[in-house]
Amino acid sequence: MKLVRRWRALRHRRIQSALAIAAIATAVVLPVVLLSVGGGVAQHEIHALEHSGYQVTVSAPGLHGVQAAHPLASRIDAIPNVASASPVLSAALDSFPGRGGSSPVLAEGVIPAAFSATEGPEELGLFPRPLPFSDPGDLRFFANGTYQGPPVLEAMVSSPFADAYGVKVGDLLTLAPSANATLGQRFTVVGLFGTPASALGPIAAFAVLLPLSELQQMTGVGAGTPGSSIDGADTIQVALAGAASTDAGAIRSVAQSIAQIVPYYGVGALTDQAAQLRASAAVLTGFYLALSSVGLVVGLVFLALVLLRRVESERRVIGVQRALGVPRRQIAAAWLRSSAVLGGSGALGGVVGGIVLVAALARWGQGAVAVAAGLAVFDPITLGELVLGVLALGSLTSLLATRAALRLPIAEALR
Amino acid sequence: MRFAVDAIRRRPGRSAATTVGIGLATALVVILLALSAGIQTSATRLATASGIDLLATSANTSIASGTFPPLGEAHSISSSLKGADGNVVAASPWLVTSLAYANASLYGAANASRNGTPVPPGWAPVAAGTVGWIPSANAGLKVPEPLVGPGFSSSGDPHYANGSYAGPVTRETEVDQGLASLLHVAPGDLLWVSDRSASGPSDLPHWFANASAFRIAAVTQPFWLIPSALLGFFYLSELQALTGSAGPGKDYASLVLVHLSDPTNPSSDQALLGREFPSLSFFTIGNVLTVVQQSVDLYRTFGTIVGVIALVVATLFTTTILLMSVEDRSRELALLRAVGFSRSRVGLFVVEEGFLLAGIGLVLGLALGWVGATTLNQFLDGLVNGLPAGFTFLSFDATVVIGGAVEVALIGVFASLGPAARAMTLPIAAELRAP
Repeated sequence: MKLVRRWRALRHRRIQSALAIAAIATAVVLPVVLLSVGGGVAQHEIHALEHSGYQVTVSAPGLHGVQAAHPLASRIDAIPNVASASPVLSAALDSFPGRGGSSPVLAEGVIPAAFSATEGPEELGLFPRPLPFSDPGDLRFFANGTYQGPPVLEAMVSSPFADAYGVKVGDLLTLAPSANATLGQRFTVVGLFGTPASALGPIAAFAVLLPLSELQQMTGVGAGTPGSSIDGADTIQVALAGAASTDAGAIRSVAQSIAQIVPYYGVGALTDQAAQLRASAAVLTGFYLALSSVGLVVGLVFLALVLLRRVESERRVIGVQRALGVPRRQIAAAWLRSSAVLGGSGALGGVVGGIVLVAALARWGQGAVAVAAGLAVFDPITLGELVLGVLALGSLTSLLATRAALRLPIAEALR
Repeated sequence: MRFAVDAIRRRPGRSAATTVGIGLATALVVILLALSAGIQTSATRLATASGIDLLATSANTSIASGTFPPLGEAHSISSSLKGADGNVVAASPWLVTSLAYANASLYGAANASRNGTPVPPGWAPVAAGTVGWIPSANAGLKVPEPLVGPGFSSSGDPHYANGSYAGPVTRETEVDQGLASLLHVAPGDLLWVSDRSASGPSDLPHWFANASAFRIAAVTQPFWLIPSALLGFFYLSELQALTGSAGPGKDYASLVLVHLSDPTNPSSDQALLGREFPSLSFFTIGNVLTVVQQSVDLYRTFGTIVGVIALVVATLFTTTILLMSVEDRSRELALLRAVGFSRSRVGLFVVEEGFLLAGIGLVLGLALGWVGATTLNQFLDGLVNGLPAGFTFLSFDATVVIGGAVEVALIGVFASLGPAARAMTLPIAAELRAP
């Protein structure tokens, strides 16, 4: 009831109150936008890391630096708790679809069965399972590292590429390491795969998936000098089995076992990367709050001035209250309530305004802005803490008004 | 103006709080403007100073994708482009890749490990960005200068030998300061280089057996164009041989950098060369800068939101202070109206007060903004290695000051509108009759 009475009292100073509330609300919009969008993007990245389908990655210096990828994957497969190790080689190729001309595509060379076993939830919806390659273990052409086996020459192509060039399953597609088509080979399209609907980074919309050994041979990292093979890859993605895939200790133990096999390679546990990302997100939250503090400080100084102004205009009322013996605590509480009403209204208005602004950016923003806004997460705890923070700072500003009210000379105020 | 000065003097605390509010908002906006101006100015200046007017990549490539298939017949591209467009002064094919580097200490340790002496922990080949080019083809392009050492002994590409790859192999390399410092090497020292990596200490003898030894011809400046603080430079044909991209039908490069004699209209050269070479895609520096700008759109949008919010809060604040001032002086304003001052004149007094508060806020904001921009620039400079001379993240120039002044003028105008209207419509008789 007291708050309702204070709200009615505020109507007497409608413009000043409205402007103070508007200023605080505007200032609160900024941390709401930054925290929700920044937090949402960080959560999205952490979720992607934690649900990627594999838990450990192996990489090496140099271009396609991982050597002897097939046998290394087999050695990693033998480590306890490892479900599958999938070597991946990425390279840009030129494709020559039937309609003429060439188009660059991102080619990924994989061992089909191992790749399927390390797919995350998102990839599961994009790729058929099992992959429609006739040699799921990539053994035929690899032929124990000789690269002399019968070529498979099968490829899967991304849906955007297939749509753009009218490529269908069963068609032949020439792929070459450069724009020189005579260096290319003709692959049979055995399937299509989707690409993610949206992402913050660039999307390889035009992509092909090939057996690892055939892409290695095409890019010059397959058979090396006679008697030795390079068998290169960019990374090996390692999926753990069952409960171990969510056990940080087991993941770290597997990473250490791999590091003992290839001590010069980079072996990273995605759980560690997720932890680093969380720490970075915490630093960013501090940065967002620091950036927002300018507007909040101005808004709170504003609130203090409005309250002081009200003390001036209500000096007679305050004088009467004090002359009648109203306790100081009661007068202070009244000013605290005024500040809470103004600050609270502003903070709540700011939260609503921030949510509306983020929704507008997600709906009408362009490119990465719309994507980032679409990932925003409005954490009730964070927003609640923000509102409480504004209320707490607002109550500090009421101290100035209270001090001024309690120091009014009664006789002068009544005159 | 006397009215405005008097109003501010009467309420020094309130006026000070207002100017601090405007000053903080101005400082924030000025820093954001300086950041935007700094990156844009530096990027444009570097692009102009680089001498690169066009970039050529394989056909149908999007510059935003970052990776593209290699171009073939790299050594003949230069003469082909010059033949097709007389405006082309230089066309330099670059092969950009990543290699593993090792120094003589590691070589010694690897040999000693055959006798059972373990390789010291932490010693391993280092990955670094690598560029292969034909030194003479870089005429007109800004490439890193040697700081120590004579540099490459030949301006051409001797090993290429008209496509036979049978010419003399120089085994010379230049490395930038970052890589030289990491490997503790100087001109004259040997470096072992391979496109493969060693899997561990036991693999080192095999790795060195397959690596190629190069002698360091120079230690160079850092190179801003390639985003790596560790870089090595080679003759194009020798790097092609290292990466398996030498030979007939290959002769690969990643891209071609083109310098024009008259760079005022690169779009026409882009169109001409595009027609002549359908197997290549050409980009002007303007295209590249547009892609860079698009990639920072996210930050620019949220930066704009930050600035707008600061401005709105400062404007609301100033409006309220001016309203309070009008209320405080309502009798005085009514008296002025009673003795013949026009409504517009009285309104002007309030606008003047608004502008005076905003002007003081501008001075404070510019000072705070300059301090903030300088500090932030120093911080960012310390974070990024290999920046070229003259690069600044924040540029506190005339456009920034003008931007700040315009912003403050807008605060002054919008904040004074309501209070001025209030002053102009004060009921004169009621105000004069009031106790």
